[in-house]
Amino acid sequence: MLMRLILIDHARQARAGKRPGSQARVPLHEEMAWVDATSDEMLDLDVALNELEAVAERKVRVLDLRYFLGCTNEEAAQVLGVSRPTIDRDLEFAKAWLYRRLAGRSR
Amino acid sequence: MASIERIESVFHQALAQPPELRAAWIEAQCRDDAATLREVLSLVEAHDEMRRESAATSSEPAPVPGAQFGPYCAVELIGRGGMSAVYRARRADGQFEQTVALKILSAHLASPEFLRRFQKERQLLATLRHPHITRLVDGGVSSAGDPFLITELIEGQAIDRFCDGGRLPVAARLELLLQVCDAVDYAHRNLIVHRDLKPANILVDAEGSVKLLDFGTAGLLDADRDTTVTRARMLTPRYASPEQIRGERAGIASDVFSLGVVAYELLTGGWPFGDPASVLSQMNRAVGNTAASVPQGVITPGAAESRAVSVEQLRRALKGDLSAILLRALCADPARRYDTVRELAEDVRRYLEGRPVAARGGQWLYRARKFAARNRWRIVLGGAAAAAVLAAGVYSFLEYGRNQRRMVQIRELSRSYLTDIFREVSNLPGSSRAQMMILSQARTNLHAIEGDAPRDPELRRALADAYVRLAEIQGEPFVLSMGDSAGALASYRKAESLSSSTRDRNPQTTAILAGSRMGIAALQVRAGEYREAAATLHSALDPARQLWLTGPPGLEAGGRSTAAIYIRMSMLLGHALMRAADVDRSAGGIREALAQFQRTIAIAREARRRNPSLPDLAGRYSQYTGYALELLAAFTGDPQYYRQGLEAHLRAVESDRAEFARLANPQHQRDYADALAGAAWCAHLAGEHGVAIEMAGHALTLMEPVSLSDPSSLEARHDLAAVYLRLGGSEQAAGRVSDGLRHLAKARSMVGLPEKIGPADRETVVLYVDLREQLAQALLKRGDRAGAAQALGEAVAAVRAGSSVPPWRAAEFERQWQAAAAAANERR
Repeated sequence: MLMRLILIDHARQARAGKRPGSQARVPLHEEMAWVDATSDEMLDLDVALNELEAVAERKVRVLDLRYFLGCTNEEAAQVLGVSRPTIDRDLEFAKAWLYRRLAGRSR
Repeated sequence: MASIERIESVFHQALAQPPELRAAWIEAQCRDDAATLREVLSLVEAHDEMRRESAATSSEPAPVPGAQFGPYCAVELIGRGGMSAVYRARRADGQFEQTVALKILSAHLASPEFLRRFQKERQLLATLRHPHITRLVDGGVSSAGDPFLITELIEGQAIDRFCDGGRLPVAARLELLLQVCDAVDYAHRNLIVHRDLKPANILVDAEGSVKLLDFGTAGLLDADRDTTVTRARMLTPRYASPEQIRGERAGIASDVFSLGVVAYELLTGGWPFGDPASVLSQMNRAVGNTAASVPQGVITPGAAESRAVSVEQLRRALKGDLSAILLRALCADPARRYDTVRELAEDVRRYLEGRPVAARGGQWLYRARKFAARNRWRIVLGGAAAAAVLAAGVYSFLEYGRNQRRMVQIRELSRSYLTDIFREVSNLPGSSRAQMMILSQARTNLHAIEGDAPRDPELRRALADAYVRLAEIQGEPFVLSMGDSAGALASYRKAESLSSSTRDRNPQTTAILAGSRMGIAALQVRAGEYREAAATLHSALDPARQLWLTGPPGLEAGGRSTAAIYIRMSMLLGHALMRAADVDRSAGGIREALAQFQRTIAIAREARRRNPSLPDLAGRYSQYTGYALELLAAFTGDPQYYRQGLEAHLRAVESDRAEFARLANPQHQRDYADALAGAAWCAHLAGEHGVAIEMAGHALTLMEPVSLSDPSSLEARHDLAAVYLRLGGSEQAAGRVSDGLRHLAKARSMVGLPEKIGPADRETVVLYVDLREQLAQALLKRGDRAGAAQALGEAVAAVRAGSSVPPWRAAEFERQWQAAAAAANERR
């Protein structure tokens, strides 16, 4: 599965100067609006998720399902075979954990 | 060492304590456990800070746009939807005091085609004058380029809240519903369908008068064909008809259905299709054959109370006529619903007046009509009852036998030709010709047994699945296929129509439907139809995700798992967004694409967790974030994105190298080479020409054998040309002009254009012109202005003939060409 993509040397156009609107943030998800899905933070998030996964795998799966795959809480509960309240608790804990791990860095 | 379980448990219990007691409580819990104490305290602190920050950002008022909207200016945000935002607005020219509602549509969703239709619809909407429809005052395109609509500002409550808040009884609710029907029917008679009827769009003002909102996104009825299919629209699944969920044309029957759902909720307080949050009920609705639950069965004591009656009274009221009316409006098959909203309203009136309703009387007539249509020849044939029975029996028997035989044939075909043999052959080097032979044999057989579309659902499924496989051999884009895009599209469409039957709710059918839509979207991307591709994917993604996550395990379509289908759809969406953003030179659009690629990586992660035997592809999808970051660097002028992009490319290289080491076949060799070439070019863009040359050289040694061993594959030849292009481009940039020229000339000899450029060739044109641009740069370095002018002239001619090259780049080519031509003439 593959697409051939050759982007030409855009550097020439880039020299024309910065374009407006380039600073807009794209929040990863409205419930994790403090992570910009298009910045360096994503690389940190990746590392942080791996760390969390090592100690609490399900919590990372819940995060992936909810914030990357766009599942509802019900869907996530169904997929993981746990209850709704468990999903809520997992999310609450995982978000606090990630915030502690990441937010200090970017501000 | 504090255990995570202990930390988590104390964390949750601590949050349940009053805030001022938390710290003390935690200390008491962790008296002998300093590590847990520290962890929990910092987590609770992070939790609180995150809460404060989210509260601060969400209560922050959204900036009011400063642009001019004709004579109006925005005052404050009052609502926001998927594609638009609504503001309270005032006339800015001081002519007279007037407060209105201003609806702004997102410009980046507005293609020229959309804008044209937007204009046309606005004119039609302006002619709608009805006491229960919000009046359109004005509209146009703002000074910032966003299309907008101005309507009268309605201060009212959504109809469901109004009814429950006032504890309105059933009859009063029906009276309000009649006002809604009246307005919708008026619009229909003016050739406008609403397509997004839901309580939030139906307001009731203080006088109890209904006002219908949001005709701004409505569609024209029958003005031209398929108008509603080509447009990406956010619909509200809860109220959407099955045909809308499937992304098909939405007409009057769709509005009848949505009104049916609204009425059902107003009367019963429940949703007709089970649990609205359940994935299964939505999936079944998408396949189109979930019957609505009988209204009297879903009521709760709470619902009865807000209708000022007892449960038993409400149940009795709903049984019979009202139930028949609702179920008629909610039929999955559009042909079985009320033909018009007026008929629905008439039945409601009949009920209120105590007359017999058509919904009940019509059932046997409808059935009789259907029966006659289905069995016409049998009825004609059977003058005597006995003869008819006999004839029907013989016919059924014959048809049964024929189906059985076909089934055996087609299964044999799918199994032997299209599965086992093909899988074997496709992994052999140089197999395009052999694949082609299998393909033509398969096609001949398919035609021989296809005949009319088979009635048996299992046979239809087998045939649809075979068509998906056929399409993939014929010309699934971006893999080593035969490059017959038109043939592939026809096959995917055939599979799509065979698998979108409303009667078949087998998950296998849903999987095939998803597989065919995925293929269609890929071909649309390939043809440069990015918005159409995004629309196809938007309608197909959710059902595909649900099928993967909650459908039966082991489902496949066209030999692909549901996981693979969903991942590919997600990636294609990112790809379509990225190319659309390239056309618009929109950094914001690139960021959207980047976020979509990040999602794709997470999906691949989840797929691996669910099935650890899958190859680890999360790394390989990093390649796409790499491409997006290159564009972001170009559009923002910020070189840090090149560095990020290179990191992403290198992750992909690492992942593909591992895959190739695990399973050495041509496809993996090609993937690995392609990842290397991608990383090389990103290094080039970042100014690291030496690294770029080294990596491109390595890519070449891998790609060359793949291409040489399969001389009949166009894709493989273009792959190789693309590697030579990167190598030569980097060489000429590094000052090794002779090497660069040699490699670029080699690439040039591999990429030709057909006489007539079709949609499937547009991507080839991009490669063709990229090559010429690099070649011209190298020639200029050598002082060959005439040669450069000639290369650029070829590029300009190709772009003019039709390509996926964005207009801003096409303009750049023209400029370069003219400059080079002028310089060449001067020399002479």
